[in-house]
Amino acid sequence: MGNIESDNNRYKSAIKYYNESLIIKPNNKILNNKGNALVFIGKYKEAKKCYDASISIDENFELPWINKINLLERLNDYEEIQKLINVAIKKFNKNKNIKYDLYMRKAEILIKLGNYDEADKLLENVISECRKNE
Amino acid sequence: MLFLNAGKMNRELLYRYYFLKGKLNLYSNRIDEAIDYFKKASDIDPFNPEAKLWYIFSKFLKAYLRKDTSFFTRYLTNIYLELDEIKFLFKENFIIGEIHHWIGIICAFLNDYQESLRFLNKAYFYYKKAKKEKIIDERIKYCSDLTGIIWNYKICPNWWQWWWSSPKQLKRCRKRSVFLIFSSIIFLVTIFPLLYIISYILNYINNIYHLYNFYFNQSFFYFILKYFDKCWHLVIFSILVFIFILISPVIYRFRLKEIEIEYKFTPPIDISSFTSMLNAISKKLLPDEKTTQISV
Repeated sequence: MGNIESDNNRYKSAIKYYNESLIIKPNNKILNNKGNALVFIGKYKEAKKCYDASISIDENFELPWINKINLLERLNDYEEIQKLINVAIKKFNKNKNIKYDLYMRKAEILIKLGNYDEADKLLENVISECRKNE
Repeated sequence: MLFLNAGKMNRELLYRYYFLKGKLNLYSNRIDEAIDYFKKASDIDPFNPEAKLWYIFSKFLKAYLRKDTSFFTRYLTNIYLELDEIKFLFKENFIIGEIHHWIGIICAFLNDYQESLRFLNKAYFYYKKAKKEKIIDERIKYCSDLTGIIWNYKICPNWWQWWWSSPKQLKRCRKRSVFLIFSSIIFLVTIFPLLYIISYILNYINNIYHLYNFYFNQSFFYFILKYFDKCWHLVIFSILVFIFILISPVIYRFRLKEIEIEYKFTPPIDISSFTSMLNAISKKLLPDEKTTQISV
């Protein structure tokens, strides 16, 4: 029901349903979706907490990581993104798609922060690693 | 932005690699390399407007910083066509305004002032339609300044054009209102003396002497003379207003020295301000929250 409400842009109502569901049983996917609904209504702090809670339930579930990074990017919190990306890269080291995406994001943030040499090295490493794997 | 499959991943990864390398090189003042990387990124994903925009603007920057007139002119024609081609790819008013603005700048550099004015007017229209933001206010100011320079110093309109046909961003409505009010004052004040002068002229035209007699009899003359005698201050006032209307455009033109005009027409562009402008455009191209936040 929460997802249906969210799809119909009724986020407050969706959050209510998510909350009711979470009382019965905490679930990382519902927490992730609740985080998204909170982002859509502009409650970023609460959304971050939801993503963190989702990660703490299942660290291997990649969506709350990606969503939290997207949220932090929107908030221009580059330091926290860097930390988060570093942790996420270690966590999803075996999933190449996510790993390369995270590397690219890291390079983008390094460019934004003015660390051009580091960003350049990172980009070259990623592309050479990708070519090797091909 | 998760990659869905390997094929897509390689393409998207490569696009991002080239695009970021382009940015890196641009930030490090290596404009030629940056252009190459942006071109590669744009070739990989031709429908991605971001790389295309960065590619075209880097080319503009290269031409601008080179200060070689013939090269600049040749290059600009090319950029003009490219910008004109991609302006339909965007929906965001700010970006459409920005593209029109840059086409306007390029036309001005190519000495096509009328065309430049047309694009700057469109840019102003789209900026005004965009959401209110600090960056948009800055761009509106820059757009209006450039329009003012082109209109007042490059096109140099006649006084009536200056009052009546100024571009919107140069306070056209206010100018028109002032012009209408002043013209009305002049008309009302001078209508009787004017009639007097006309009748005086008619007096010397013998062949319409009878007609003159019919319309302008002695009492009417007397009335006009009395009016002219009593309201001389009003007549002088209207003459002063008329002089003000005539010389206002000229006074306006004397406000800036030639060096200031050239400075405003071709302001010094540095890479950091240019890239921050491009970043502001890129920010508008970011997908909204509903696209980036992924639910299960």
